[in-house]
Amino acid sequence: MTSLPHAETSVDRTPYPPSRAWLVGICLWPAFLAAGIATLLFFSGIDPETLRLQTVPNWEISRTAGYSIGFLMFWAVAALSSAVSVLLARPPRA
Amino acid sequence: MSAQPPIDSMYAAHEKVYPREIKGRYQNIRKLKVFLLLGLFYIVPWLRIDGNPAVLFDLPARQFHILWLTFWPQDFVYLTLLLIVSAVALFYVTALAGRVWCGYACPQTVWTEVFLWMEQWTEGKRAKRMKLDKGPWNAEKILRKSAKQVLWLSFALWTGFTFVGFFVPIDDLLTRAVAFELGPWETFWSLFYGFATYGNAGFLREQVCLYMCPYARFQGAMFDRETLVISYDEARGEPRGGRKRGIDPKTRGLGDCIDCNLCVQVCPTGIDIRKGLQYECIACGACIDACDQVMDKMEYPRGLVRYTTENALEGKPSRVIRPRTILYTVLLLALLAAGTTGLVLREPVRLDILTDRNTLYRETVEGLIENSYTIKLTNMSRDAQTFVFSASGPENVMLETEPTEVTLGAGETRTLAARIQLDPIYAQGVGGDDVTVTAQSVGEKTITTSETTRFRTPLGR
Repeated sequence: MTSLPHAETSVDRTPYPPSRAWLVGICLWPAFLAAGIATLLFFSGIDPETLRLQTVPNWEISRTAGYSIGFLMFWAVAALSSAVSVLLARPPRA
Repeated sequence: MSAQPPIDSMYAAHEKVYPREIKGRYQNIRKLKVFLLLGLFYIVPWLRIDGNPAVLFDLPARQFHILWLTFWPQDFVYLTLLLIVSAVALFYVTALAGRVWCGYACPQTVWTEVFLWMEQWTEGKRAKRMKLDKGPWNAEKILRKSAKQVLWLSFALWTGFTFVGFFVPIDDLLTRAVAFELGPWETFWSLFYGFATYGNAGFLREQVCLYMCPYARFQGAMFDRETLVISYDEARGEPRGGRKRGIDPKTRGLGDCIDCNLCVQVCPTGIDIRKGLQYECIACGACIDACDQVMDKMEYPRGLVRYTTENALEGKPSRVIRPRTILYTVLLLALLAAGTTGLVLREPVRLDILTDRNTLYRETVEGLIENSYTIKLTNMSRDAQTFVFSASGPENVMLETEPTEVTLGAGETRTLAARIQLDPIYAQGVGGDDVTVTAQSVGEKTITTSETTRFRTPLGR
């Protein structure tokens, strides 16, 4: 934000050393946003019912359950990616 | 060795912000927006058109109903377009008027406002709230705090329930909720959204804007010297200092700021606007209202803190029309035009032809070449329609469907078997010809669509 008029540097609000809650938050929250987008894109093209019929036709999984499971899976994977980013961004522990 | 500064000296530990309540022009606008936006959120799921929900994102049926329109997964392009239009509109508004989105429309600030009201009803005004938090857990504190939690929790639960009501018809949902017969996922998402509202609007509040919001981090890129921002008029206000009413500040070498700190106390993100524009500022205008009140009391002109542009503060003219805004206007109009045209021209029937993968072609006893297909027809209009089929392409091409005509209710999809036959003397291409299949409604001839498929013929003829 270089062009802000007469802006003073506000105090750094990033806690250091970062607390555990903070780290968990910055893993989960961006992953939540990414999972939302992924769910939207994926399920607009693919019907969870088709997926079910082609993989586990004997299981009873409603569409609502399909979307929800899909979202939670995307969230888990994206959170994993966030977590690795956080891990790599921190100085290695000896 | 010189002492090292403590490593966390630049970091301000989080302190709870107790925004002081304030009345004024901008707070009235904010209040109005809260009622308007939350009113829409809580009422829309209950609205009905012709007995059907006016807005229903029917995920189980893969249909979105919005007023008189029904959207299907294949209409995804409109959703994409809507999101792009929203993004451009947000950039546009930001370039023109700064963070008005944050101050007036963002669900986070709107819900936070309501949770703050409930906190004020139960725990009292700012000073009282601070005292209550510092004080011991006596009967009054327990009573006030639990009253607040009851209000917050019920409101959050109702919010979560309403959210699910956008995806499941809400009156049916209510009937089942009262009977404790909600499905597991309906329960899960109600609680999830309710919990998110409670956590974000009750506890995190300004921290969502400070730590979680991506827009807060990049909105500065849309700003220029002509952007409307909330600003303290340093030239007029400084040097600040206390004085009695009726004393001309100039005789004391003072500016107009009486350093009452009200602008800081009312700020929901806990900043001092007099330090200049900061990324924490959500442009709610509370400090303007507070300062205007003080200026009125001191009988100074209003606007020591006001909506203004950087150029205006420096006495230069401000322009609304500039390359940035022209670009956004053109982009926005083009996108809107494309979306509207697409919506108007949208065909209310969809036809898919799937080629039978098992056999390329077969010859009938009459010596005709025959290909088998599966036709998938969806009636996306609002009424029931009866469709018939025809084929065109090579001369004398024949189409037979089983059944010959099909009646589909609104939103209904049916698959039917189809055969296309062609006398080989009319075959033109090598190995196959393109055949166009048309479905047309018997009742409304304008409801029609065509799809081209490959008709395979023997090679070497």
